[in-house]
Amino acid sequence: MASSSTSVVVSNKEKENKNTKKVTLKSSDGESFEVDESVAMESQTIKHIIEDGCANNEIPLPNVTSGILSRVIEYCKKHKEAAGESEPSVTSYTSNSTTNPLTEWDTEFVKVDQNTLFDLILAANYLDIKGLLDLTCKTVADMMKGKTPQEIRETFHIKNDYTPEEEAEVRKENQWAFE
Amino acid sequence: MFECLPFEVLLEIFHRLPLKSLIQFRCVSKSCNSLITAFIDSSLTRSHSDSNKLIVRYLDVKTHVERYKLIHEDSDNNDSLSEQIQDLEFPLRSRCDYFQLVGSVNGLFCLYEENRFILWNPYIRKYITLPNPSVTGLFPCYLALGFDSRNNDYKVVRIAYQLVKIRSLGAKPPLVEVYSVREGSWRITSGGDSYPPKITISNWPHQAASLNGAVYFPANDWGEAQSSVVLSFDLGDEVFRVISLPNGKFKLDARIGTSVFKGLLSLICYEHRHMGEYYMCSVKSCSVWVMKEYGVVDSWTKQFTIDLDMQYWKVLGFWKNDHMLVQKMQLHGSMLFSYDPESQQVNNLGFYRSTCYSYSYADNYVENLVLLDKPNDVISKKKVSNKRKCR
Repeated sequence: MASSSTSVVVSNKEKENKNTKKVTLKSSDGESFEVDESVAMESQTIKHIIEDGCANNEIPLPNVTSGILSRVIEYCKKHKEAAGESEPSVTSYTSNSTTNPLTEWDTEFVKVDQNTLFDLILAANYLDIKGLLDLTCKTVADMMKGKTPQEIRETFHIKNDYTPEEEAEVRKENQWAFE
Repeated sequence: MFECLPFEVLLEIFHRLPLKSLIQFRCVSKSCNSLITAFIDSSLTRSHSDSNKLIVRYLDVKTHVERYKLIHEDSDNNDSLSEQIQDLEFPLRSRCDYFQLVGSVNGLFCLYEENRFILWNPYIRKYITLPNPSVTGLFPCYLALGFDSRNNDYKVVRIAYQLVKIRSLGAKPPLVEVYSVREGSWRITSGGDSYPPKITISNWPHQAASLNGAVYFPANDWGEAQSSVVLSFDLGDEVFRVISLPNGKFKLDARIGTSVFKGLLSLICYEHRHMGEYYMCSVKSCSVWVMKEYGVVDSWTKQFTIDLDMQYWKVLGFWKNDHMLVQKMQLHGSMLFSYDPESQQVNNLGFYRSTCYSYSYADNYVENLVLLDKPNDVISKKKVSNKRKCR
């Protein structure tokens, strides 16, 4: 790691070892994932299940496939690690960097096909993971910005069910938004 | 693809889009159009009482026309105050200098001149002219703009007195007409049936407050009470109610304005140096009363009193929940500042050149989408086809 006089990293490795309670998450297609409880609790939905004492051995997630679940877990692990590495009052980023290192990781994380992206949105919503929901929604919003209606249809495979007359009328009523 | 997303998720996406993108999205497909309509509907209730932005209305010094400014208070950076004030374009021209301001709620403004009513949303830069009310040619008329929370609708209330001698027995009750933004039309209500006898709405110039689905007027009770009261009109059940004030504290014709303080009905009461004076130069002090428990007369509490030791000042209302907005009028313009009663801190919000000693108006600037789906005034008036009102 490049040294910088203003960067400080606080290691919480000791803390991590004390708290390695695990929990098993089961996807809709029957695959089991064992994760640290603290990572799983990034999901408010899972957090409530655990706190309500309904966790037992496995937590079934019938709305999430294994492919999506593994990605979600990857997201939670990464963000939990980043949160764990810094004390509230001490930043772990060098003063030279203008972007949060996680931002770059997040950007790469959402470089997926559309179906996966929408599945991630649904999973983030169902599992109530605010950071992931924010990230994925923002990604979709960015995909929509600056595109004409035709470009949006093409990007998102939306069928145009207006007749030419209807389309002209809607366009005329909302002309101010195209200027 | 979008249809598979639950509505609250779509909201998350739409909130991150600029306005124009959202409107352009209407043209993609019929279902996209419906989604945007539903989104607008859902946003009508959003109000940001903790907004950092203020919209100020004042009269221009040379031309006497109304002008609007947007003030953005950046608490971290008090130095660049001038950069945080921007002019807001006002799209209309009044037939006589300036419009009368009926009021503003959640960022929507209602303006009026002669028999022409306008609803203006500065955030989306859209205005509509209301059709003429049916009740015309009668005596004094009182107006209010309010938000009917039960029906998620903005309404303009017009109370027209039929005879002048309202204080005497046997006086005819006023005709009460209401314009609903949802319906797009005026409707005469049976509000007059519940109008309490011997009550007149105060002539002290002030906009009626809107809170909890009702509008509130300062009024005078010329009957047994012989004191000032608050007259409310509920936008849901369209019934008038009288809210009494603490005994003996508020004489008839007291200089009271209704407002909302920390989400509660409040009164702004001016005390003048000399009896019977209307002029702002004689304001001695101003106290703020709050009705802590709605409907309970005993819960009226005097929150605080300000004695600003200066001439020509007026309280414009409250900002950020409980900060007082004060206008200090000077020869060439006005100074606006906010006062935090808890910390007693005064924050200068800027100076603007305005007509000598004219009242300004200020309210939270709210990013509301109301009127977005209404046809623009410039397009010739035609019936709104039902298919666009998907609910």
